[in-house]
Amino acid sequence: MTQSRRTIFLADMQSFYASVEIARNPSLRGKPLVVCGDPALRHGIVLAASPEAKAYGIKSGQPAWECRRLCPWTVFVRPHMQTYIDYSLRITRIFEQFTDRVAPYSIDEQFLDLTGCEKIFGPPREIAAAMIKRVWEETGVRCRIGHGENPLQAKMACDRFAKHSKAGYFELNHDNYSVYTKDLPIGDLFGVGHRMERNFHRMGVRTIGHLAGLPRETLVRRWGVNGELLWLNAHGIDYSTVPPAVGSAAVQKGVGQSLTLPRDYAALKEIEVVLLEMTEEVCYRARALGRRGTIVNVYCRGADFDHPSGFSRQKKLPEATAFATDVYPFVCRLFRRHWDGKPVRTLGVALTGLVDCREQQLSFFSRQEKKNALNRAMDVVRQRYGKTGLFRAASLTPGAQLFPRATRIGGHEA
Amino acid sequence: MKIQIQKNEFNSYLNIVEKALPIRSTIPAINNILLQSDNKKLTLTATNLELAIKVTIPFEGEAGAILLPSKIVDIVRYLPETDASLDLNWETFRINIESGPSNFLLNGSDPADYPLIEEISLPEGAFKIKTSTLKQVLREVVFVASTEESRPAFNGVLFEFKENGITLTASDTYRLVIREITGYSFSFEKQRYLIPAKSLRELMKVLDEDAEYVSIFPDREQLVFYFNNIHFMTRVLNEKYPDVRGVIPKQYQTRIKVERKPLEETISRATLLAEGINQVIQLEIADQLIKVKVSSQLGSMEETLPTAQEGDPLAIYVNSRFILDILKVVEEKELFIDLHGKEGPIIFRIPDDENFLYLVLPIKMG
Repeated sequence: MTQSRRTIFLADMQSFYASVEIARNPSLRGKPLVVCGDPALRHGIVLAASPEAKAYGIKSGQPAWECRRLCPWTVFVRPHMQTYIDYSLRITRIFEQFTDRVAPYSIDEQFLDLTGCEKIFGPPREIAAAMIKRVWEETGVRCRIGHGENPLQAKMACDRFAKHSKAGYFELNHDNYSVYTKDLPIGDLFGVGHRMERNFHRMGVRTIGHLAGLPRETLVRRWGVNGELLWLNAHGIDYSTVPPAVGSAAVQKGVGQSLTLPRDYAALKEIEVVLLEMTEEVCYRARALGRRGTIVNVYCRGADFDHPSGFSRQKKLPEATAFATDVYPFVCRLFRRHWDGKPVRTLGVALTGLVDCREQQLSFFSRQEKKNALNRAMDVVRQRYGKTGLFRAASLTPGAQLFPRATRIGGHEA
Repeated sequence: MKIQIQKNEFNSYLNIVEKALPIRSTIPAINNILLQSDNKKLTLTATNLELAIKVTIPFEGEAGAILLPSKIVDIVRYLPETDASLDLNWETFRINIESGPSNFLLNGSDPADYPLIEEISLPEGAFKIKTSTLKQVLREVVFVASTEESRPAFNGVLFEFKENGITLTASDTYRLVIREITGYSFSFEKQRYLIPAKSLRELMKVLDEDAEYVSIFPDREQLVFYFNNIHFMTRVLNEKYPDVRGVIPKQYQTRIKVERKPLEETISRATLLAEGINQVIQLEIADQLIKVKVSSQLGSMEETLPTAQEGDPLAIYVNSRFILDILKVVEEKELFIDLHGKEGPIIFRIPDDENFLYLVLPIKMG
């Protein structure tokens, strides 16, 4: 099967949160900067580090105290999540002036399909240079662009080459893909995580070229579809188009929330308050998508790092629902059945197997109609007055997280 | 004690009692089949504590009892020859099975650990029904009961014994079936028994039309079906069955008469494009026609059938599986379908048979 030649870009923002902070406060430019939450609340991990900070060995995910050890004059900045979202959207608007096919992949990565745009804007290398220039001038963020004939090649071009090149641009295509990637370590291949890397090492596969040289059947036999996918990745083959925007109802199969508690919880009562708040939130988000869930999942991780404990278990719901009052009893039942009674650090609730909300199988006894009206009213109040505009009394009890989190985005300061 | 058995005959008894074996149980004894002998007869018993099946075989030999491991079912099934001998040792619980060149030595166990299953004799005045009739009414009713465990009452089929018959009711909260059978006399207390649908599904498998009649009677906390020297004893669910009759409207708004087979075929075709857990199709009734429509991400289809229509035109969404289920179990050539507006129930009736009703609630499109 031959693929038509497409022009796909992956645009990645360098040290995005840190770059935005520098753009807001130019006096920080050139300094080792770290965006990091409040260490006292255990959010004190590095969310982003400027290139200067990275030079000292500071990496995302490190605790704040470790940064100070690596570089005592690190500048710490608290995160401003809403600003980052605004910047990300502004950058999307810039790209949209080049093509209508823009798909945000994460807050700092966007896929662009520029097939056919060459006729208007010139060769891809020039388009990329124009985009990099405009993003820099309008937002102060440095952007790097990987160019490929499919999203996989674009991603590989960006992560492995454009990020390390001065121009911030690199092109991979079917002709040069194997030349450039064959000697890269296998862990650099898109889709290969730590575990898979170890598996490959055990097989004697150390580079992308090694993997590409294996027969396709070997991969299929060992890891099924996923193995075949990695084999295709090693060859630069990817049949997907620019992925549809994340968060659109067409692709979303579940809504979930997980949360690292400000301290370890040992009391079931406190844990269940947080589970209730998360169930409310998850159901609210499912309703906002116009969907109901058929499966509920509860996740729990124990506090003791040395003896990892916890579970992730799910249960099918008797009928599709997006009402916390229906889901919460199952959440509690799952938690009580699987919890080992040890202190808890992280909790999560997810509603999956989403189905269309507009189809409602009527039933003799359910109060779906009434619940629907009640929840719709609650949603309206919350949309207007925020999540603390209407809440359950349990959120006033010790351990509740609704109020501490209400002013945050993704658990970080807005 | 040595017993001469015919492979096929003994196998058929084991196949029946096997239906009551638990899938896995924490009580080791009930994973076995109990064999008892009392000079005049041999009995085989199995139970999962919800259902017990006992087969009685006329036989003369010494009295005794032993637990046969459930493996015996397969061993007998695969014996090389039709004749076999079963040598049971009441003291050591050893079992020796010989058939032609094959010789099995099995370890049985002590029957003292087995739950006590009382001797039940067929009482006077039991409810006596033709096996073929019972089979058909179970076919019409049992499939509707829910397998979802969150509402235990709906895992059962309600048997209401009345003046001269029984009313069977089953529901899964989305649909409801009621079947009455009349013209019977019996002499036990007219009461309601909620029987686990799981037991009835097994009953349907073992009901054998070699026996012309089945006798039904209550005994303590169970309902007994007796036929062909088989006692099929099922526990009664201790749940209150909600009043479901309230959902049946008095007067229909639309009535159509349809030919069952063509409608079944049309809906089967439509189901090919129906999606998701609801398997939604649309029925459009107007101008003496019924139009079956589907539209999903796969595509769309529509098909029109002639019908005799009385009352208002109507378009309604419904789970196609719920409709196919009923079209497959009834045998009549024609059916009435009564409709009650877009959000009202859809009721299937058999012409000239007041004693049957199948009701489905539609899907509401928001």
